[in-house]
Amino acid sequence: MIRLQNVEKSYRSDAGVTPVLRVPSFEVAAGERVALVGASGSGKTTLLNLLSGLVRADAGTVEVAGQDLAQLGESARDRFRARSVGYMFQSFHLLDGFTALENVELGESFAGRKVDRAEARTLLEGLELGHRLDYKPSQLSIGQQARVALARALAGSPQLILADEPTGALDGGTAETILDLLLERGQALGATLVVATHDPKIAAHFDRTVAVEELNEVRLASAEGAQA
Amino acid sequence: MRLPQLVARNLKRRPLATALTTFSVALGVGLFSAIGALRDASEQAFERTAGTSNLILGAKGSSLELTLNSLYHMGLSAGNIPYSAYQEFRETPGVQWCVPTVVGDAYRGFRIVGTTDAIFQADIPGYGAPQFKDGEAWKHGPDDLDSFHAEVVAHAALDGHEAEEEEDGHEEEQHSETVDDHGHGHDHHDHTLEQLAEEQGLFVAVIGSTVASEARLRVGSSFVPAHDVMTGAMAHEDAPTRVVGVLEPTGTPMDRAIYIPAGAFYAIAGHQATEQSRFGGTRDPHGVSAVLAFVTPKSGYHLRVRNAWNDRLDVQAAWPVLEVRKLFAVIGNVNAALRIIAMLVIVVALVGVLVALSNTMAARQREFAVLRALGARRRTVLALVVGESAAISLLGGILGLGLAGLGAWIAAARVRAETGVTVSPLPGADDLLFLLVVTAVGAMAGLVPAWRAYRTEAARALSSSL
Repeated sequence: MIRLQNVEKSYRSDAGVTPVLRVPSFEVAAGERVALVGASGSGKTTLLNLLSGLVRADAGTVEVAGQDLAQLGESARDRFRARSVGYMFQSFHLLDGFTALENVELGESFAGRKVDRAEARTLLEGLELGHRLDYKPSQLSIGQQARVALARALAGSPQLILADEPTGALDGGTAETILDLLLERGQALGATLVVATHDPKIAAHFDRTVAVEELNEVRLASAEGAQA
Repeated sequence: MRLPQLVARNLKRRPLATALTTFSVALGVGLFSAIGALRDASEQAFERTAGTSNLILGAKGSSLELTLNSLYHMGLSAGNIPYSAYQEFRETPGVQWCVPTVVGDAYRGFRIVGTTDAIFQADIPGYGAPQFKDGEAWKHGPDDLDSFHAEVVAHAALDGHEAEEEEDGHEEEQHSETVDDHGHGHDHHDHTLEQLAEEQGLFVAVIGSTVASEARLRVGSSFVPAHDVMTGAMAHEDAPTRVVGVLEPTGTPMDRAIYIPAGAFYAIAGHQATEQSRFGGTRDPHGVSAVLAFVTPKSGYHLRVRNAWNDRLDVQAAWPVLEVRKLFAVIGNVNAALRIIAMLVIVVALVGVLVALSNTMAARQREFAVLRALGARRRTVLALVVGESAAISLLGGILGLGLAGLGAWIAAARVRAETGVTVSPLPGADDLLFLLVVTAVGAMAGLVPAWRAYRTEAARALSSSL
């Protein structure tokens, strides 16, 4: 499902070019559930952005669902993301002016096909939000917002679900619930799940845990430099 | 969720900003459209009225003043032309229809026009001859008027002769006649003409629809004309006039006029000026104020008749349509200035839209980034902001046209009240085209903030808005 080969990514700024990621090899099987663990700044989010096509690798191969995203132009990556990727953010990033149902519909609004309102409704009802369909995010509790964000990531039945610290803003009990739902619903869809987290307890729920510091040669080099 | 829904949602999210910017566009568009609509409609309505009569004879002076006074019942008459001119004119080849008018009296602000019954055969463009809502026309044809006018002249000559005798015999005696400010005399022969008019049943009137409704007159009602069109002073108590007909609305100044037989006008006390009156000598005291005519446009008659009559020293011939166009050419300069001001209001309003949207761009970086993360292309995000700007412009434009329609409707009521000219304030094809232009310009104004949205780097914006 996912195959990264000699991937490099740097960010350019006025201060110059800063290498942030260099991954010689990384693979995830279809339907596998993987936790990317690492401290803040280890490159977890950059890796997720590469997998979603939100940013493009400077070098190497980023093959996802049979497509090398490193070779695709921006529009093609946008289309790929709209059709094949579900994304759940740490602070959920629900849009304020839209209801819970509309936020979920947004998840498949750019895939180039008719939005299935019934599916969006079913997703929310399945996450016990059937009575909050027309509520705005500000009218929902943080746990309910997390469920809406999860429903949005699931909308359109994506092949790949990416989540960046999905439980980072939640208390223990709610975090457990959301995590269980994410794993359960992702598996039900047969989707591949890649979650970035800094919490080993969260990572323990996944099929496989990958330490990004060990995967990312840039971090390895800087860690070795610090030790020397 | 489609782009229009996204645009609508975003506008709804900022109700105050959306309402204010929409209203500012509406003000500009409304102002621009109302000025244009009112001008166009007024011009058309004025020209329609002018089409009733394609040539007017009147006293030398301002041809515009003559047109406004004789056709639109505005201002004061510049004076009389000889009655013989009317008689001669109606025999002129090419003259298809003509009526004399004698003016100077009014009732409750509505002008009284002395004329012949040919006025009821006037052909109003797009309407036809005036229709009667109630009652019927009085009878007083050109020949009837000629006969009555001959009596008027004979009475005046007798008055003049007696006056000379009185002056020769009683030089110290004060003259028994009083002359009012308008040069009209009162003498002891009035009652004779009045009796004659009474016998011929001339103290009758046909009134326009507005006169009927506003002065509360109907068939069978009587009223007393007053000798001053501006103040209504000096009522002719000796000439109560009975309404015999009420016209249907025509959308022309006829609606605000009271038509009486010209003979009755000459018979009313104070209208028989003598040779000693101040109108004596250079102007016919028993003349007519104007002659409204329709001259066939075929074979160059229209031009030839005008030129021939303009060559005379005692008469001028005017083309009403030309005069109305000249009037609107003058008004046009003011109109253009007003439209430029309205245009500036629109520009300022659209700049306001641009500023309002630009001010939200920084706060909306996260929104654009989320949309991009969900698969929206850069151009979708650009279209979203451009769409918001265009939508505000379109909504403002529609609201503005609505306001313009309302404003033009209110102004139309005033124009109708003042002149009897009906102005239609309904938006036309030009307004719809203008709406599209404003929307397009609004969309272009949105390109400035939209460019910022387009350039949003989703990954960076999302990581910085955690």
